[in-house]
Amino acid sequence: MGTTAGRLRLLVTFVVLLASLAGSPVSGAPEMPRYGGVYIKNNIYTEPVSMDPLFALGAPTIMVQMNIFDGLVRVDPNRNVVAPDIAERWTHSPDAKTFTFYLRKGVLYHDGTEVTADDFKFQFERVSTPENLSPHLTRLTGVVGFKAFQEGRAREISGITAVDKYTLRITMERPNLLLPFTLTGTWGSAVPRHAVEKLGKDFGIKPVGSGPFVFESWTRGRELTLRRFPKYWRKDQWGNQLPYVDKVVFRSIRDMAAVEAEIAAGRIDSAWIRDSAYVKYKTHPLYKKNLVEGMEFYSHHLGFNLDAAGTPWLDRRVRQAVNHAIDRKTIVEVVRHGNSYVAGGPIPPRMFETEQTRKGYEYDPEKARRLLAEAGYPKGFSVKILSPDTPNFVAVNEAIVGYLNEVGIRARLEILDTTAARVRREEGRFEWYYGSLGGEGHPLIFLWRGFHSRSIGVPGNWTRYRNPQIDQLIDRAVEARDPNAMLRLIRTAEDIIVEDAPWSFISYTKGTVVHQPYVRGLRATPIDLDWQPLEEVWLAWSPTGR
Amino acid sequence: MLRYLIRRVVLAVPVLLGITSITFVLLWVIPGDLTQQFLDPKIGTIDAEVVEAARERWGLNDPFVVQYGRYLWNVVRGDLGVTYVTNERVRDAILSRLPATARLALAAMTISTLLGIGAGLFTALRRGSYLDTAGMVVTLFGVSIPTFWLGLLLMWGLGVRWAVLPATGYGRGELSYLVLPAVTLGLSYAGAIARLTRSATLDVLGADYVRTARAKGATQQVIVTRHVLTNAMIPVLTLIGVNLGGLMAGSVVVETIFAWPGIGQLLVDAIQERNLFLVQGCVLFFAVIFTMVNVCVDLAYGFLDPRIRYD
Repeated sequence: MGTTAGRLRLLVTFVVLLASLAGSPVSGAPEMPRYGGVYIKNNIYTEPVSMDPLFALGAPTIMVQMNIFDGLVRVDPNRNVVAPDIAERWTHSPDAKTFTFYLRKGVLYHDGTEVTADDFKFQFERVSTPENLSPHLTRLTGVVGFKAFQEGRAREISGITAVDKYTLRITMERPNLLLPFTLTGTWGSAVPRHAVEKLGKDFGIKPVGSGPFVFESWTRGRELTLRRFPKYWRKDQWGNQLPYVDKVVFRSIRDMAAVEAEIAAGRIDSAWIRDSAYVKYKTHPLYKKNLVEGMEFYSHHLGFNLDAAGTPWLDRRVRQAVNHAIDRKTIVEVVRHGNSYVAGGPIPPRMFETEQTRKGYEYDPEKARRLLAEAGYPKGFSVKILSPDTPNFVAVNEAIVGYLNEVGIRARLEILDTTAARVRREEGRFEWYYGSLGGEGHPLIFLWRGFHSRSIGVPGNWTRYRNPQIDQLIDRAVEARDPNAMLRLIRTAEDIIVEDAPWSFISYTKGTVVHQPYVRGLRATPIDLDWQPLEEVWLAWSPTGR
Repeated sequence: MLRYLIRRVVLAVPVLLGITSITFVLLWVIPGDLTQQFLDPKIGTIDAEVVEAARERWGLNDPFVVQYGRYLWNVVRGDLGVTYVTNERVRDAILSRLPATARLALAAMTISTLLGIGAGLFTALRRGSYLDTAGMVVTLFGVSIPTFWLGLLLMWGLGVRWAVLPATGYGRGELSYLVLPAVTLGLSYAGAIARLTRSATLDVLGADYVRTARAKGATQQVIVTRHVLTNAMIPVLTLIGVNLGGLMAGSVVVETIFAWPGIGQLLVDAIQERNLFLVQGCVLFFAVIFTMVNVCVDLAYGFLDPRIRYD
């Protein structure tokens, strides 16, 4: 009996081993993609706003729109550079004012009509029309004729020209190498004029794009379904038609514990995860091998209100002391459980093509005390830190308060809901705040938002930092005609900002996506790991029950 | 009775007006408005000019009195406003979520009523026994356990560990999806109903007319169904009525945990977005439901106790 049971166990082990091998590639050989299946992805945030690229607003919206629509260009899914999309190539004039985009021929919309240069001109003018009140109303500022168009003095933006069916020319008033980066957002997608004009406002619930997936249905609060577009233009590295999966379903589960339950039950194929679940998946025997992690473009920092007259932190030495007083490494490893990266400066290094990291301020409480004493505050001072009520923000702040106390700075926390904290930050009603700046793809835009004197308030210069040298460096970089010169100016500005310390640099966001073992093709996409181009995602085997 | 009904409806107007005013003032006082949605930290705008244009377009720069007056005028005309960015009508947004919320509330009410009254009667009729004590301990748990914890426990047990029910979602409206959220919500209300039923039943069991009925030789079944239940049900009915209003309005936590696409979830999103009209619409809707349920409960008293008149 015992022998029979032993043989049976051996047989079962053998079968399980064979089954597992069936889903794995032969060592060294690339795994060939498999077509078919329904891929179910969770959307942890909230509902999408609209499927109309006019309202490309917020992560839940973008992650869906980017799979229904294609633009002229897009951010490369693997690194932060501009990559071709419908425009197979582009050139710019030596003065960096005129950009010419050459479109692929034969790119089709989901209704079978062809994408043309006119469609982009239509969409760009649609977004720039004040009556449409798109959040991206001012994205094309600087294009010749943009102002006249917005003020109603011209019927079209003269600087955007469809030279022929497949060539689009954009002329800027001043040199602007950032234009291709600006155009990577889904707001600049190709939309068919006839469908927009026919559907009107309903275009937001019955979108027609030229992306890898066709919109199928959307029940608000429940799920949104896309199906494969069989005539999509993009092919994989082996020349196979994309996309691979038949359908994509976006579900809306906001509670992390519920997401974990659905992953465990096998009813969700992938999900972006919050801090609370990170350690669990990082140590999970199965899912630790099925995590995609990468730097997202958010820089967490402590900001000093530099408009607060007579305060100790107007002295640069005090700000540097704060930077030395906080042990960022321990915060990242212990408080954030490793679910973020130590910040060495303001710009998340992955924003740069080289991804070169910066060491930044070392943790040295003794040096912090010395700097405080030199600045005339040997016994420290009291300060209030404004923080949003996001749990991981609060946890980090509690640690920061402890570190500051160690060097004599008596900090108190003021915790408000996220929106209220943001408003207070923008209006400058704080002493210090803890927050994150980000969401942009380009380091220059990031610097402009956070540190240019023209960006005080809403754009992101919440500390009210005014440094003519920084303003000048950023302005020069914006108009640089050579990418290397632009990069050098950005790096110089960043060096000065680190030295000047208007922020205490804490960490960069890490995005983590957990997926089922049969899911392939998810990548550590730049900007946000939830913004996955899903045409290259495939399922190595069919999940049970589906 | 008609006069009573008209009076109640007329009295509801200042109540609804008061609730609307308080909500409007609260949303006015807290920092941030709808344009914060445009300032989405992921992708939105970073341009103060766009925010100002939106504020101007949506009338958010107008004085409080103008904004409130405009809102009230529109409500009187049956227009709850639009959801700004996508121009979806607030009324449509609420109505599209109503079936899910109503299903959940009714199912939870059925569960809580059946369990609560059953347990209350069972323990009252066995007063002082071990079963009575055990029953009261169980109902105490029912009253004390936080809904989110109970929900997660049931989700992990029945949705994951034994996988007999879907853990979250609405599916295509199948009953199996309703079970976990309805049981979670129902159990949290059942404890209170059970305890109230027990005490009301004990009161009635000691009443003279019950003693008379026993003296006349009525069976226990007749005493319970004809005398005890009808008389003990008046306070219980009040609680069930209030619960129904609460179930319609207060299922926010359960809807969030179980990804149930109801009005509670809509309201949470609206508050986060500072979507003034949508928050107002949801609050007004809940207030109307509460008022209607209360009127219905008051009317139901007359059927249970013929001594109650509505003159």
